[in-house]
Amino acid sequence: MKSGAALLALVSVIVVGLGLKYFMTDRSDEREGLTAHAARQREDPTRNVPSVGSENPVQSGELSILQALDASVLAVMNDKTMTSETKFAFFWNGYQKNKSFVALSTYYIDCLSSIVPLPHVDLLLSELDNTMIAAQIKKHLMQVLQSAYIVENGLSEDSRQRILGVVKSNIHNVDPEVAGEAVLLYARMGAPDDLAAILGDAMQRKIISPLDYIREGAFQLPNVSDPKQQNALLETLINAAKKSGSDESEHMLMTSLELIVQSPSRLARIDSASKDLITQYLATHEPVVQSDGFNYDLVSAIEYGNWLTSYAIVKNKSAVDVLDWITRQVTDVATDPDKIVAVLTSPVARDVVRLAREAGQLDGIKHKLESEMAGQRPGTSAYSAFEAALELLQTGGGSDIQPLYP
Amino acid sequence: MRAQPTWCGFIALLLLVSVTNSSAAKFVKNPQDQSDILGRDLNVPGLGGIGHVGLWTGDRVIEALDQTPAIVQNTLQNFKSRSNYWGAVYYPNWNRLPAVTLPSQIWIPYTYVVYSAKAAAVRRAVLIQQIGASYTVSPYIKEAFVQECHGLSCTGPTAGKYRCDTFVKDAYLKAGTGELSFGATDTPATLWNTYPERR
Repeated sequence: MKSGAALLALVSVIVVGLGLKYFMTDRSDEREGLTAHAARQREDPTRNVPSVGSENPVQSGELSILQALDASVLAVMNDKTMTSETKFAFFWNGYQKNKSFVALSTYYIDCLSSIVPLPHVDLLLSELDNTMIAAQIKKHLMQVLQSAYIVENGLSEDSRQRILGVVKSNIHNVDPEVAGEAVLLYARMGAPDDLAAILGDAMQRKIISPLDYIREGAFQLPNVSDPKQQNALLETLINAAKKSGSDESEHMLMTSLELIVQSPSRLARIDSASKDLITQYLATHEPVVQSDGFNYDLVSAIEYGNWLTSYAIVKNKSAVDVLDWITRQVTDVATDPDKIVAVLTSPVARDVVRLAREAGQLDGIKHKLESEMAGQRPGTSAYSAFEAALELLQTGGGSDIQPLYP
Repeated sequence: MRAQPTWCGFIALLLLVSVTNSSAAKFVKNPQDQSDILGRDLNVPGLGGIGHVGLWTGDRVIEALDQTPAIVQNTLQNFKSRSNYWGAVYYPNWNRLPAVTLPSQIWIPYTYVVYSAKAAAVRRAVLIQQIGASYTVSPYIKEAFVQECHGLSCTGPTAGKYRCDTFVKDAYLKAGTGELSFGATDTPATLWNTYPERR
């Protein structure tokens, strides 16, 4: 333990010396590319040309420091001879010594989640009341506590209820960053009855983003038992997605609704008026399969397959009708070959192949894919995708399990 | 008269640096296939060598960033514009790995899809994004889970917690690459350098 503490102290001193308070932090505003430099790069007409860069400095000083730090905490996490108490003390001391450096202190706090069951819940709860610590630290303390609540194992019911109470009370924290995090953590603590109202309020207070509101609100939709309230929540989610003006929000809503539609127990809890609204939403938001003959995007293919399956479920009454409907789309002569390949990545692929074979329409699909593939270069992801789809058409419906995607 | 050799020496040094730099600089290629790992400098002055990595979906980069939500998909241009781009590396043995069955959704009861290992890594990354995750600077990984049930009580889906490199690592491990590919002290840069095969 002495050597561990010494290493911790040494590493901490080096890290602090280098001003590592910003380390490992990639700023969200950079993701949006809002800097003038990034904007210039986006407008650069030569942007598709491979960029000139240099090899990364693997043995740079900062990398060695991070490696040493990671090694020290991983050694503690993985040490089966150490007691939970000792591990807690190691991480807690690391946090206490580096409170002034937010990134480093949250580094140690996050490691506490590796200890199951988490000891000294009281210590963490009282630290949350410390007005001298940064909002970012409070967020991570709550994350550790919420994680312990969910894991459940070994934690007393009294401790769990206190954690639930503290997370809920922080929804009204004066710091919007802490309050927003509390809302998102509370949303994953067992679908409480008051969640829909809390999410709506949090959205109005702008402590959570439209994206977070849409995801958590849609997760909650089947749990709202009153049909009118359920419909009102769904309308609010649709309006929030539209109002945000971002593709990301629309995409989040659609994938969240698809998850409900594809879960029979959840769909059964959706009122008919809300189901009509979902059908309408899906009908107007058909995703595009991203393919240019060279690159075939697996994610967009999965999204298309999910969308088609979901749309078929809400439009048809029985599982047989759903499969027939999808098979008709796939065998339709006007259907884009990229979309056919996408369906063959979805859970219904085998049934579709079987039904197309029974209807004598398998050859038509094969010829369409083969003719599209003739114009593609071997080795590209598009070629591989079509090759695998054709293989599935030949073997699908049989007993052999084949990958549905290359 | 004594100043002249100094200036000459200075110019010679500049030329030497220039030549050295131009020979060190390489044409760094774009990713070519699903599950390629993309690397770039960490966008913090003086700490670029720690690095930042993301996973190529075939059309976009899926990556873990310090923000809410943490897992996002961005364009290649966006990824490359933020700092010095390193290029793409790939795991050479995808075709030798067995197919992987993954749930197609996050709620019980699941439907499943069988993917090749390479595609499974991308699918797992997208699944984490759907479930939700927060960001940590530590190497601690809290895996994102589809709905979890303990006896009759079900919670979830349970959000994960990842750093950029541990996010990629989770996707690779679920695809069956095995622990052998990774050391105990991974960082974004060491993960990227684990794979010598570069595009």
